[in-house]
Amino acid sequence: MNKILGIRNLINITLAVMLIGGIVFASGFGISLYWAQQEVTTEADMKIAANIDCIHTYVDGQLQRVEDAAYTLLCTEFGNTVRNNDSTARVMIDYRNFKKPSPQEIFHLLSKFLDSNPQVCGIAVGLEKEVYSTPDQPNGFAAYVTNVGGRKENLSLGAMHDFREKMWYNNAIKSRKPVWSNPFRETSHGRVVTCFSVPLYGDHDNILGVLAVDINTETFRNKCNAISPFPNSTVTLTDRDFRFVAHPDTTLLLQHVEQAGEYYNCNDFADSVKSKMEAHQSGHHTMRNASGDDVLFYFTSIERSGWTIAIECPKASVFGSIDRMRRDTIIIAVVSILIMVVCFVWLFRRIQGVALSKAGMERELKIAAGIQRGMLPDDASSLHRDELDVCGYICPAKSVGGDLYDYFVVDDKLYFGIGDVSGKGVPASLFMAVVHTLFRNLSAHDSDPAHIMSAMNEALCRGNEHNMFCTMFMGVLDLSTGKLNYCNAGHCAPVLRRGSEVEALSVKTNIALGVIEGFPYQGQETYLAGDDGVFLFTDGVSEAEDRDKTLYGDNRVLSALSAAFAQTDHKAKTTIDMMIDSLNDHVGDAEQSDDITMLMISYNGGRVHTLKLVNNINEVSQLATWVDKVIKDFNLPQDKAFNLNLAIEEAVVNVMNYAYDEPGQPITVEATMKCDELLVTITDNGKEFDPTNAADPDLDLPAEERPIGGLGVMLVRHIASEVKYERVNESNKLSLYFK
Amino acid sequence: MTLEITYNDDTVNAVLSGRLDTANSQLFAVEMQPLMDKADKHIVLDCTDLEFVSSSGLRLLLSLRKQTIAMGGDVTIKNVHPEVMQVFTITGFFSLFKFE
Repeated sequence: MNKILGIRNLINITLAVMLIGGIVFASGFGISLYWAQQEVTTEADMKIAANIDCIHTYVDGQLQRVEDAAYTLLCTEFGNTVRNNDSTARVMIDYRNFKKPSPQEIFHLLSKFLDSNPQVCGIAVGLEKEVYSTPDQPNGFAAYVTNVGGRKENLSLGAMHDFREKMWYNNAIKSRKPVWSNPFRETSHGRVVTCFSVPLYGDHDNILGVLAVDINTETFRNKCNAISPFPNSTVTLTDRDFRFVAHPDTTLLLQHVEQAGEYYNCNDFADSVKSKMEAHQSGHHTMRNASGDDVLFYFTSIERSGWTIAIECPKASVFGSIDRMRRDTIIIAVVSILIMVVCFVWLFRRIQGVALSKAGMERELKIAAGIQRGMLPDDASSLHRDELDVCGYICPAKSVGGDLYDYFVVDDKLYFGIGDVSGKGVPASLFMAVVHTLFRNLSAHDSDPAHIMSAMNEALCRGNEHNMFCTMFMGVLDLSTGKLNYCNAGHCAPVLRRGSEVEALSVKTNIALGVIEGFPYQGQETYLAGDDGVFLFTDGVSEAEDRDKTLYGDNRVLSALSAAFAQTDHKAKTTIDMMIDSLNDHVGDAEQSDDITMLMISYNGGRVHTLKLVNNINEVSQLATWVDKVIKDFNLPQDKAFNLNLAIEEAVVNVMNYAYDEPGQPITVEATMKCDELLVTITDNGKEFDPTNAADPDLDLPAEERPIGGLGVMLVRHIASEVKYERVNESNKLSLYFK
Repeated sequence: MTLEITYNDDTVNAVLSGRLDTANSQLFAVEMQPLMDKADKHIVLDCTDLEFVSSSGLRLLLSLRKQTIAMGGDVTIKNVHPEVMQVFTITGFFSLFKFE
């Protein structure tokens, strides 16, 4: 019981429940997490793409607006637009008809441009001397207006240096088309600006001037800083040379990304991203930065300026919601499993309670079975009787059964019985206990089996509301004589052992106990000689079934008994063991359906009284006392005493007179019961002498002619029912039988 | 076994009591010698207290009877127990004695 519902099992089962619950939760959680991750990834893609678009639109829009403004200025003030063959536009200046505004007018023009384009922080125009020159700028004119915190500064660049050497001018000359410079830091104001330079073409594809417009990249930085698709995400803008134009860390401005470090140095970046970025493609990639954090890296290119917008989002923040969800789900799962375990333990305890009560019942049944078994005698050795060897066997189909056997000795009589109560289990066992108690109690007062059975029947019929009944066979064996009185109450007939032979015992069926009140049970009697026996059994033996429902049957009982009795060993236990083996051979692994009970009683013969004498007439006086004792011991009628005394004395005296020539020779007298007869044997080692051969004296002779001898033998013959003489092993053995 | 003998004019009364078994018969043979001597008389054996008699006892009684036949006396046995009488009957001694 403890094995099934022990704490060890509770732990095991709880662990199993936790495991199964865990697996179910984990798989459900895993699937939902996967989908959630997919969902979040898609959403993040869209969100980041939208953010990148937003920046792209803003930056590109700003650039375009500046370009458009620059073109407009050029076209209105300096030349006109001509479409190239490749559908690009170029601005031509009709330098011959150039109306040549004054430098002041040019500065004013530029200043006005700054006013109308607030995103522009500076504007410069440079013109070759063929187009325009002033006394202070004889080799070409260059004017520059910059807006420093709302205040404008005008610079006549041509007077200060050769503007043709400068990047803003040079870029356009070198590329021969409008071009955005890489951002640079102004030496004067420290602003990081990018410059749009537009060449002014003459007639012959020659460049006669450049208009350059500066944009403070701060506006892009502000834009980038304002964008944060996910917490801790970084938005950067890099120029054509992958120098930072916008980065949250302003110290990194204009630094090359590889100097900035982090993932830009990692192999992943070099392998998958860098080449794409360099080819001005868009894309995204997941990689691990130097700190070991996984990041999502999105990038796209601004074609107009060759810049790259990149958004770097730590995966942790992208999937933060997932992580939160995961954490919450795990907490919920753990709590659920705990609740489940608690519920389970509670339920288990309840079941265990039920099981324990069942276990308690089973334990009580076990105790009951022990008590029941304790009612039955253990073995014949407790009887301390040499005349007897008894062995009982009981094997209930359930823990308690309705079969019983019993035997005990009172006043030199063996009382024994075997019974089978209708039904099985507890009711049968209770009824059996009643039957057993009645048997014991009634047997204490009566030695007639029929009386005992009748009295038991009366007691069992009273108040027998459940119509229980009990088949029973009981016997009373007189141990001194071998006389067996028995009575059957609807039980299967026992089998007799006569030496090594099986013999059927004639049995009146009567009727089972507890069925008919007042039924006149009839007893029977027989005699057991030494080495005889009785085998009793219940129908659990004869009706034992094998797997094919074939009964063991009476024939097998008889043949198995024949085999058992044929053994030289006639111990009761040997017989029972052989029967059990035979029964097991038949039944095999089929389930036992009924109680199986057997009882073997082996009778070793009655008591033997022995008297040893020597051949001296005076010894004869001992005979009277000895015969009295035999009569008493064998319960013989007292009125036989005289004749027994007479016959035995005559026989013994006869031996004394004729067997030996020498005095002091031994004579052994033995008395025992043979069936219902007393057998007295007189043995001597003298010369062969058969008294049975002697003729009876003639009783018709007159007194004076009567012979003096021969009377003794005649008396013996007359009194004894049978006289036998044997010469055995140099001994004379005279056997006298008395009815 | 005891034997008490009283003498009258014509009869000798003997009271036989106890067991007249084989062991006692030698003693009885000695004790009944007076009876053998008076075998010419009518001997009356009172067996009221005779419990047992064996063939040895019978033989002595037979020899007494033979003596009385030889000497002209007679033997009467009286008050014999049925069991003892049975022995007389079986052995045919019933016809040899007078019983009262």
